[in-house]
This record gives sequence, C-alpha cells and structure tokens, in this order.
Amino acid sequence: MEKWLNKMDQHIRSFSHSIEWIGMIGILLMFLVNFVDVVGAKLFLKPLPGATEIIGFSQILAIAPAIAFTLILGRHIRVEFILDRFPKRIRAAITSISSFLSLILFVLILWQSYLYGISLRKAGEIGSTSHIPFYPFAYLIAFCCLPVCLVFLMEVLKSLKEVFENGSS
Amino acid sequence: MDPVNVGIIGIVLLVFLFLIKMPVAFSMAFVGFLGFSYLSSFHAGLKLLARDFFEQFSNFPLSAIPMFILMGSFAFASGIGKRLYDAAYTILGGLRGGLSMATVVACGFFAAICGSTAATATTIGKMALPEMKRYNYDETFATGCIASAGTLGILIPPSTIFLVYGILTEQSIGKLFVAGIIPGIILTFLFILTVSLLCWRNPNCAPAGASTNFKAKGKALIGIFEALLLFGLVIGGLFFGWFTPTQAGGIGAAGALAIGLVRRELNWKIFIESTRDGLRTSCMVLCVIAGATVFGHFMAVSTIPFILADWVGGLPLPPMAIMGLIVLIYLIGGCFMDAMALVVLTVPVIYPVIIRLGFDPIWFGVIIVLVSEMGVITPPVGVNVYVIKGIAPEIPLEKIFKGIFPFLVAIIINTGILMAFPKLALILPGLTK
Repeated sequence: MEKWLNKMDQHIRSFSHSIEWIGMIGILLMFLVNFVDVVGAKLFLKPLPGATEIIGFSQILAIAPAIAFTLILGRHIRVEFILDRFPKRIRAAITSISSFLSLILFVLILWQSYLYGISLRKAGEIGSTSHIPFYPFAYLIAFCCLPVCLVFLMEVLKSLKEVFENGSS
Repeated sequence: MDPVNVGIIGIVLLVFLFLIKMPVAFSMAFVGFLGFSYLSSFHAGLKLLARDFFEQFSNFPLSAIPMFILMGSFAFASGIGKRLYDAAYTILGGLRGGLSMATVVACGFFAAICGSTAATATTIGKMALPEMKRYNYDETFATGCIASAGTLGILIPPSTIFLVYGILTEQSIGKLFVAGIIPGIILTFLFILTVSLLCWRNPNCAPAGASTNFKAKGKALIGIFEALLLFGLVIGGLFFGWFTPTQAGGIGAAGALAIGLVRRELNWKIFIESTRDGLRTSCMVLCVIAGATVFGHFMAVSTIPFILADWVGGLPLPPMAIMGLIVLIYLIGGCFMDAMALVVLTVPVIYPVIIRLGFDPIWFGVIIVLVSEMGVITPPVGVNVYVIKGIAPEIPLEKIFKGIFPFLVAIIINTGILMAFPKLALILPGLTK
C-alpha cells in the first residue's frame, strides 16, 4: 500500500510540475503582451489590438495550471497553528476530512467548468477585439482541476493510512 | 431559514474549516457554494462556482497583481536589495545601532520596488543578519528589527494589499499607492526612532559597526539610484496617469529584469526560478480572490454586510470610536490569519460600514495596510517572523516575537497619527491625475 501511494504521489507530482510549465508560458505571455502594448501605446501611439483580452486569457493560462503544484508545495494559505498542536492521529483524521471537502470542491469545479465550456462553445462566445474563443479556457480550468483532485485524493488516502497505522500500533 | 441566520452559520462553518487547515481560498469557495446553493438553488450554486473562477482568473484588472509580483521577484533576483543594503550600510553602519537603521532604510527603499513583506524581509534580512551577528548585536533586537522593517513592503508602494483592496472596493490603485508614501516615510522614521531609543536604553544591544569616510558615503548613494529610478518610473507613471496599474506593473517587471541583465546578476536559471516563484505567489493570491468572490456572493444574498452596516451605523458611538474597534478586530484577526486572506475575507463585509460612517475609502485602505503590517509580525501567525526564523534557524521563535514588540508600538503610533490626521494619507492622492 505504502509503495503504491509513494509511486502515485511521485506520478502526480511530476504531472503537476509538468503542467506548471504551461503556467510559466502563460505568465510570460501576460508580461510580454503587456510590455508590447504599453511600449506600442506610449512610444508609437499604437497599442496592441485586443491586448486587454489576451492578457485576461493568458492569466487563465498562467494561474489554472499552477494550482496543483502550488498546492503540493504548501503555498496556498492555511491556518496552521491550531491543528499542529493535536496528536498525530487526530491530526491525520482531521486532514482527511479537510482534504475530502477540498476534493469535492474541485470535482465540482472540474465538472461545472467543463459544462461551462460546452455552453460557451455552443453560444459561440468570442473576444470582441481579439476574436479569441472563450471555451478553450473553461476547458483548461476543468483540465487543470484534475491534478488538484488527485493531490487531494492522495492526501485523503495518506491521512487515512496514517490514522489506520497509528490505530493499529 | 432566514438568510441572515444562514449567513451566520456560513461564517461559523468557514472558521471551522480554517481551523481544520483547509486552504483559505478553497474554504471560502466551498462555504460560498453551499450557502449560495441553499439560499438560491443547487443549480445556481454550481453555475456560480464555475463562472466565478473563470471570471476572476480572466479578470483584466486583477492582472496587475501577477505583474507587480513578477516585478518584486525580478527585483529580488537582480540583486537590487543587496546594493540597497550595501549603500545604507556604508552610510549608517558606523553609528550605534547603525546596522539596524541601515536595515530599516534598505527595507524602505526595497519596499519601493517590491510589494511583499516576506520578500522585503528575506532580501534585506539575508544580508543584514550576518552583519549584525558579526558586530554582536542582541539577537532579539536584530531579528525583531528585520521582521518589522520588512512590513514596510506593503505600505510603501507598490503593495499587493493595496492592489487587492483597490480591486475589491473599486478604488483607484494609483491613488491608493501614492496614499501609502507619506505614512510609509513616517513609519520608516518611527522605526529608526525605535532603534535609537532601544540603543539609548541598552547601548550594548547594538554596537557601532565599521565607520566610513565621506567619499565612500557619497559613492554608496549610487546603489540607491536604480531603485529610485524604477520607483519613479512605476509610481510616477501611475501618479501622472501615464500607465494603468497592469501597465505599471509590467514596466516595473521589465525594468527590474533589465537592471538584472545589465548588472549580469540574472542568468537563464535564475530568470526561470524567479518567474516560477512569481507565478506560484500569483496563483495563491488569485485563488484567494476567486474563493472570496464565491463567498462574497453568498454574503450578498445573506444580506449580512448591509445589515451590519446599518447596525454599526446606528451605534451610539462616535465614528472614530467605531473605527478604533474595527482596527482592534483586525489586530486580533491578524494574529490568527494571513493578512491577505483577512483583507479579502473581511473588506467586502466591513467596507459598507466604512462608507456608511463617512470615512474616506482611500484613507481606510492605508489603515487596512497598517493593521495588516501588525498582523504579519504578531504571534502566532506572524509570517515575517517565520521568514526570519528561516534565515536564522538557530534563534528561537519566542526571541524573534519578543523583538518585534517595540516596533509593533511604532506601527500602532503610526496608525494613531493617521487616525488623528487623515490628511497625511490623502494629500498625495488629491494631487494625482
């Protein structure tokens, strides 16, 4: 069981790290488009057409793929000082509950973002100046929720294992 | 059930989820979804979840946040902090307590190009602490000083807290940024005064460092030049209305990157690492905002913010006394929660109260930042204290927390000054275009 959990953990970690590179492309694209737009607008009086929309979409491209690895690194803010005072077994039991609730949340976001993408595609929603369709970005959010769900699922399993092990010892 | 009661149950559930260590962003989204679903319909709640995350992640005004975070990351990687500290060290290091004064001044200047307290404390602390140890500075005094001086990062613009507050309350980011300048300068002086008083009371806590001649001091000023140039370009651009906040952040990031390249401090690996760090911080902040948006929609349908505004507005107390209570609530809340999360969670609820009481929203933004500064150094959740602990693991946490108290008094005095003389925060915003 432990071997399997560690192996899965490694796979999810490398998957999350890989898709974080999409986020890197997204944030650099935001930076580049913003820079070209401001230099064009201020120095040559020619702003980049659709820059606002491209930056907005690039922001999805940056943020959504980074959620899972940011979570793995423990960079999402948590209130830590109370739970850390509990014994290990109780801590693991509580962690399994909080991770399970987070798992439910991200399963719902995944499902609903996918449906939202379908509705945007059917409605033919596109950016007014950039003419970029909206729906691929809703699909991207749905896809990026997958590693987040896996991270939380692993947290639930690992915590339950800890509860069980401590209980039997 | 009455919407207000549902709202109160939601708040209690949210606090419970915080305590069981569920990430703050996801707790807010989860409770927001449950509450909204209960008060409208399950179908509407599901739709809200997907829509709020999509809309916040693609929200153009929010793109200023990743840009300013990227600016701070590039400034950190470009060695600007090191040159600032060297300059301040050369000028002030020869005085008793001079290394601490140099730390405060360097933090003040670094804050002018970086909007994060943790990044400011890390950048300057990494250089200042070894020097202070070399000159036998008292550990409690030295670490408390660095952790506290790092808080200038969110008061002197640019500032992530001002950005988030501005977006939540639809106030001008440019006005908020410039509103922080005078209080930031006052706080820098108050910190220096605190150092002087502590050295006067106990001369052995901070012996004088190596003194330098006048020529060396003059030469050291060059180290401040690039930071001032970057600050002038970014904040000046906002002040005169040349740039939108996103553009200003982008120009600042490009400027910090250019300085790093010219100085040969940046290579491909450092560039990738600093971009990655900026991305992760941006992801954390935007997730908190998306979660708070879902929660905010629940609060709006529960009508709690409006009822609270009416109730507080009708209290038989003068507005300043109510403001004092609000500051106290934030001070207590800041002890237990991260400043960013606290601001995002509470501002949508407190803001209508502030408007109802007739306070200026820009001035309140500065007050919020000051109480956030207290939050990042007070136990048990003082982020900056943990940052310093990371730099100096051998120093007990209790010692660092003990060291921040004289500086906490300085921040409280600064808040009092701002409450007594609101104009200090409003002079510069009144001049912006």
